[in-house]
Amino acid sequence: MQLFLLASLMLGAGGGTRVVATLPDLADLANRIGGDRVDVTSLARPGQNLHAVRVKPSHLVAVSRADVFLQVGLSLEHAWVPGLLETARNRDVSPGGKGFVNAGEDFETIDVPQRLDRSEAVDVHPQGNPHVNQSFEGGRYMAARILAGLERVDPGGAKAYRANHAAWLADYEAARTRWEIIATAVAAKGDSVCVYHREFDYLLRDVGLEVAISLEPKPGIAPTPAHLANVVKTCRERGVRVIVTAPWSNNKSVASVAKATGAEVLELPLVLGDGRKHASWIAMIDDTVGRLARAVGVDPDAVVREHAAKEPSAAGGGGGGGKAR
Amino acid sequence: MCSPSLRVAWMFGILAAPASAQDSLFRTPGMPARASSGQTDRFSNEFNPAIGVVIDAIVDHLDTDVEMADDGFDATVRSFEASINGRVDPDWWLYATVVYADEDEEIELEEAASHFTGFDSNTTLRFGRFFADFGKQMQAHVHDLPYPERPGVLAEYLGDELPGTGAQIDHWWVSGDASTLRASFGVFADLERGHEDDDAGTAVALDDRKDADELALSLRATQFMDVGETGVFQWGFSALHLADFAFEDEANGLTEDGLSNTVYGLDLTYGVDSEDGLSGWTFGGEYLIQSGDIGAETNGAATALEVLDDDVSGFYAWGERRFGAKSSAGILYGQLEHPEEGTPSDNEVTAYYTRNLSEYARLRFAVSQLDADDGGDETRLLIQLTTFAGPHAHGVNW
Repeated sequence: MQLFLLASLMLGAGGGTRVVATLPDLADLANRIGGDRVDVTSLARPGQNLHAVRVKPSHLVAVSRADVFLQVGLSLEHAWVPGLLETARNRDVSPGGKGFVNAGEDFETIDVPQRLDRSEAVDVHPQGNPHVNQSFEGGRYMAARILAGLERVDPGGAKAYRANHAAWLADYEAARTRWEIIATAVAAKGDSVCVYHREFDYLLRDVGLEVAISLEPKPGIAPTPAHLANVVKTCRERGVRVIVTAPWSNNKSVASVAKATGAEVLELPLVLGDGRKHASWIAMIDDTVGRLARAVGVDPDAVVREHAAKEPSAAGGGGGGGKAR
Repeated sequence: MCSPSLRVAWMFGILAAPASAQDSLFRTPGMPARASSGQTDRFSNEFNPAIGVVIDAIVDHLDTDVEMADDGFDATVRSFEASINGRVDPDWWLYATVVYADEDEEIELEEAASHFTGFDSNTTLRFGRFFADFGKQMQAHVHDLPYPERPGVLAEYLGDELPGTGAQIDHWWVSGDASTLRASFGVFADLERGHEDDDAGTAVALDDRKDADELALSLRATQFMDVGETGVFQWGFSALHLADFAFEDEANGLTEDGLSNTVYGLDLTYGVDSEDGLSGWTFGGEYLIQSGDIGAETNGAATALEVLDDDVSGFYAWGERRFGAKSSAGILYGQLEHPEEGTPSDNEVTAYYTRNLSEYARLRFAVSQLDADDGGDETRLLIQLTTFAGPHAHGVNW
């Protein structure tokens, strides 16, 4: 069932408003809010490095026919989307067109560079960390902007879109409550983790984990032997038990640090569909929060049960992702 | 007359003023004025185009038995390229590239073109000086190629690069849910196709002004399509017709004019990526036929140029493995015929390894072997360092 849902996200199906999303996460939100009025296509495949998406003819065709184009923005997709939009020549979904939705625009970002200087980093995002889809708040933020975009393009469907959005929001709020309960327990442990690249900063912040050190000495620069030695030293000093990577960055350097420190390598999905093929964005965050909690010795289900026993109305019901796996 | 101190103060005032685009700060009747709302001359650098530079440096060792050629080590800044690009307005985009090449020791305007993209269809018009749309790789500058040098067949029949001054229209169509077709047609008053024949001492010359039937023409049709989830296949057909040119032998004062020739090309490229998009394989090749007045030789008494009206052909094929975002390795094999008596041929093979130190610094190691029927053999070891500062954009099509 999950695979079927994912396949339908990737390929698009049926009629209605044609929505093209850069990421499966945006496609999931568009499907939930658009319901049967939209036909959604996702461009980036799960598992892909979002800066290295090769534009294919099918992408060009999809964008040329689209009524709505969804991107996170904040220069997350800057390597391939501007050229794609320019070539597709569909003014309705080009920046400024009514079908263009910059879902992460004006999000309260973190990691905003103090100054724009190539000596500071190679992988620079002037507006801050663009991985908004990894933030608890990011889902709600992007869903609201997708709702606005669909209403703008298809005003006749506004009532249905708002009802679908409200239903999604109920699932989200229930899940968000669980995540916050688990995060409080994780934060209380005061653990820190090591990362390869700074793509999970929102998630780690929200879950209550500090980043002790990155394997990349500067964003976009591969680790040197000297820097790896420093990473190992820092991990040992700070008792780091977990190295967090994305599928694309789970490489030899990560393995060598894990071997030297005994830390667990936790490969997390960067977008919906990575690794465990979650059925929805809520399910992905649910699972990710649970895995991070367990990695630092917190039993997420037990924490939620304990909280529910103390405050029965606040521990969150079902909907969306269910319990933290 | 104002005093020196006032003049100095005036100069500092000018220097301290915000940098304004092209126009004067104060306009009187009769002076140049644009149909605008003052946007051109009232804003400063916020709207300026993006500027980028590239340095392409090579250290190599050549072992050759070609007559008059030197063995040994050399180090060159093969090219320093400065480029600008930016939106003119919602309907126009422009870019320009100035290159200093060590070999020529001169600065050359390689490209300066405006693109009109304001149609409601998938049509683009291009005007100015730009690389003609021929084949898969000719639109790329040499430092942007996946291998260190332009394949021999392209360099010989078309030139290392193919800048022309003229206009081009191109359009693309949807040819299936996962397939698109593009076609272009170009007309050039001045197309600097490489035709120099070192052995014969002749060079191509073009008239400054031409009749309509003497203009150079380019034509290309290409289709690319998804192959599975991670693969893309592209084929293309190209033709380039030089309608009127002359061969000149300056040393002997000889000229043969009213000549023409055509190059036809077929290109195939297939690329497939890994799931994460960072590694993969690319295979490609181009086959070219050059037909018509393809060369000239000075006769024994150096009293006339003998034009060679014939067909010659050649090809190259290459394959590359990308190991990840940082490194790749590949091999290229090429073969071409020369127009001279007996159609002597060249065979080339190049193996290379590329390491991207970052997105802005690239190191490449290569070894190449050239086996020429009418000359000698060459073996070349090469290290290429290419560094980019700022944005890097050309009018490259697909």
